[in-house]
Amino acid sequence: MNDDELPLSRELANAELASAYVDGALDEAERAAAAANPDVMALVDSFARVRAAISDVEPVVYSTRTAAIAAALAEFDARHAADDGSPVIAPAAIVTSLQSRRIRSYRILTGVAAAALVGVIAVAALNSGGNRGNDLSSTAATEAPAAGAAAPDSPTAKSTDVESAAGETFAIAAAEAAPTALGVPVIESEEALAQYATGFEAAAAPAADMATTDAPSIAAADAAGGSADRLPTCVTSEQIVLGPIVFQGTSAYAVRDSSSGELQAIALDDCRVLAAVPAP
Amino acid sequence: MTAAQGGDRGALDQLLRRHYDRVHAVCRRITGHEADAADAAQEAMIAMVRNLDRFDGRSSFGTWAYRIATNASLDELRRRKRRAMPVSADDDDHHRHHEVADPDSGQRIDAIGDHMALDAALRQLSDDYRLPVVLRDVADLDYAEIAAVLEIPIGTVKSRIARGRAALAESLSPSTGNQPTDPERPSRAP
Repeated sequence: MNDDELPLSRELANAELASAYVDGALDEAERAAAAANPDVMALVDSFARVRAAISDVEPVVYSTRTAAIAAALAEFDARHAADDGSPVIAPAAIVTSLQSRRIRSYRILTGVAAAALVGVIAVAALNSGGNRGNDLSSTAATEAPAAGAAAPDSPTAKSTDVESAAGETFAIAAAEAAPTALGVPVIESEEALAQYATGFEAAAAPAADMATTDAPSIAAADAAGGSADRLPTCVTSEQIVLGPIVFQGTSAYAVRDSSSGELQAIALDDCRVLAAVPAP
Repeated sequence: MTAAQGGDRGALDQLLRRHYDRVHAVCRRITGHEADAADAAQEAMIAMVRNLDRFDGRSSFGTWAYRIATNASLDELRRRKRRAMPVSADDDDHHRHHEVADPDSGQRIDAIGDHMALDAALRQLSDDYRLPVVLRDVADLDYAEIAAVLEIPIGTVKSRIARGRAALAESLSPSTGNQPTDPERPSRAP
């Protein structure tokens, strides 16, 4: 027996009539009959509110949407590669739970944050050494190893020992980005954001040669006492987090999309994209 | 659609982008949880790609996509039960952010309260009633399309939608303090 074959009570009959009224599924005579019944019209009002509430779904987070479509396209690519006889990328290696990806992203974010902090301290120490002469250069030599001790395997920590042009670029970008007391750069424009990213990436490049996994970053984050569960859910594995920033007064983080190359400032609170700079 | 079936990656990309938001919305309302909805919607997108060559055009692509989304959501709910994770710290944290940081936090809290009450009310409904209501009110499918997706008679679809709405209205009634505040919306005839 189906639901529609069960005997209807008056309440259920009214509910079905009201529901069909809300759906616009009544003919004129039925509609007139419904409109003449206050009990039905009360239900119509109530059902219309329910319908409006259910259909009012929260907007999709941009990165969630992008990640899902990328995963589906990766599946498409894998299937076509199989058809062509090319090596197949197992979908299981591409499609992972968003929850687990978020956890990984948090770790990357905290790792990069810790590395950025180490970088700022090292740059400040180097600048200080340059201003006050060689006798004070030992400041850098003492502070940098201290940071390294906090994250002994961190490749970015090792890179602070490298006095290179890339390091100077990062120093300029960091100085123009006006670091806060916590070492988080304050950035006011898209141009400054691009400059910060360029400097950061150039400074991180030598370290990237040494980095093969996330493990050092995670170790750095753990050593720095990073609290992964306070970080937002906006980042996917397709996005490379450059570091935490304050963009036009809003706590955010700078992110590079690994596929499009676009640079973004994403708000920490609600994942809004505060600024987007196309790939250079 | 034909181009996507023929292996045109760009056409497939457009097709997925066009349908993702509504698929996610269906998953969101069926699972009642943002992270589960994101996982289910992603699984649905992948399943569409895997089964694209089986789509025969007898129903609209949307109807076919919502059938896949519904199944992906139910799979996700089964996985969630196995994980036994009733509360998401993730969501709680998200809500706290709004309460603390948003200058319009009063309205935000009302809206969040509405959403949470609605999620709770939907969770109380069995799948038999929740699915047709969601497919009608979120996916905007007509009775015949819902009947095709759920493989039940049209009369049963009408009856279950009515009963589901009645149960939701009761759960969200002013006497429980959870009446949704959203205004009435025009509805496409099923």
